[in-house]
Amino acid sequence: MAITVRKLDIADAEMVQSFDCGEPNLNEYIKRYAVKNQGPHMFGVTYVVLSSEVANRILGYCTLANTSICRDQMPDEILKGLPKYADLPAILIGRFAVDKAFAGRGVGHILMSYALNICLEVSKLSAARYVLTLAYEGAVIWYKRYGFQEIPGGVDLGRRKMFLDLAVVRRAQEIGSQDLFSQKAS
Amino acid sequence: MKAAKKFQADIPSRDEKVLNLLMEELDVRSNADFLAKAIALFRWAVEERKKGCKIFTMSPQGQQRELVMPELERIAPELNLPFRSVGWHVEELNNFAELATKDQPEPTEHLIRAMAGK
Repeated sequence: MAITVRKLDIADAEMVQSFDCGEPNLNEYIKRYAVKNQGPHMFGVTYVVLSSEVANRILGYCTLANTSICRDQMPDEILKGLPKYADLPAILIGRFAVDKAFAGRGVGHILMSYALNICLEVSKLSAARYVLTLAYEGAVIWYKRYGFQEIPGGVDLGRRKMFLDLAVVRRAQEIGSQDLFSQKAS
Repeated sequence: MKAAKKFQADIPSRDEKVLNLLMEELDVRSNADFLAKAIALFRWAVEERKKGCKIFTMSPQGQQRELVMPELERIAPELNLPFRSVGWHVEELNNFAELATKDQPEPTEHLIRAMAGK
């Protein structure tokens, strides 16, 4: 399956209507809010997965935004390793979903790869140290495969906060490129 | 060797004039050769824009002009993300601080594959 990932476009408004990941909130977001939030409201940028073999269908999507984690409210005794700024910069994966019809075919992996590469690029332009996500209960294990750590202490609207240090992502990129190099060399 | 694919297109007469002029200026002898070069140039522009790179020309005096095409802007990632605040419980912040100040784990196999595009 030839897959591409690109920004959501106003012209996709009709195509998003058939999206169904099985989670009503995520379906509603892509159908009603994603275009507005990308354009006039400026709340997040949505990326969609498309396939040349499946016309007029969105296979999956994710939404990214900058955010921050309030350092001021954290206890001093455990803050020794963190930079001394009032807010810790992070990138939020606000929504992440794969259409049920395409689940289990690597669409989520491609989308996560794309999203984390963007996070690294964004972190080079404007400071960002962490990737933060709000994971639905059923997706927590899936995020853990990529190294996201669950942050205990609260569940909002059925979603749990999880984070991944961008230094770990950068390290993964280095290891990945070393692997590619050694494969080419051998 | 793979068989070449036939490509046929109707173009308006004004574009035909431009095409002929370009072929003459570039000393390109056939439509096939012209198309191959146009594809190579377009492919390069697409790959650059996909990486988030902007495409500029620079005059001999140093004046810059950016190439902006709706098709290319569509595939470019947005690196200037809008800001969205997230509500935190105090307990979550405490737990986050504790986890974030520990030595971070080594990247997982899935993460390495994702970053290598595999």
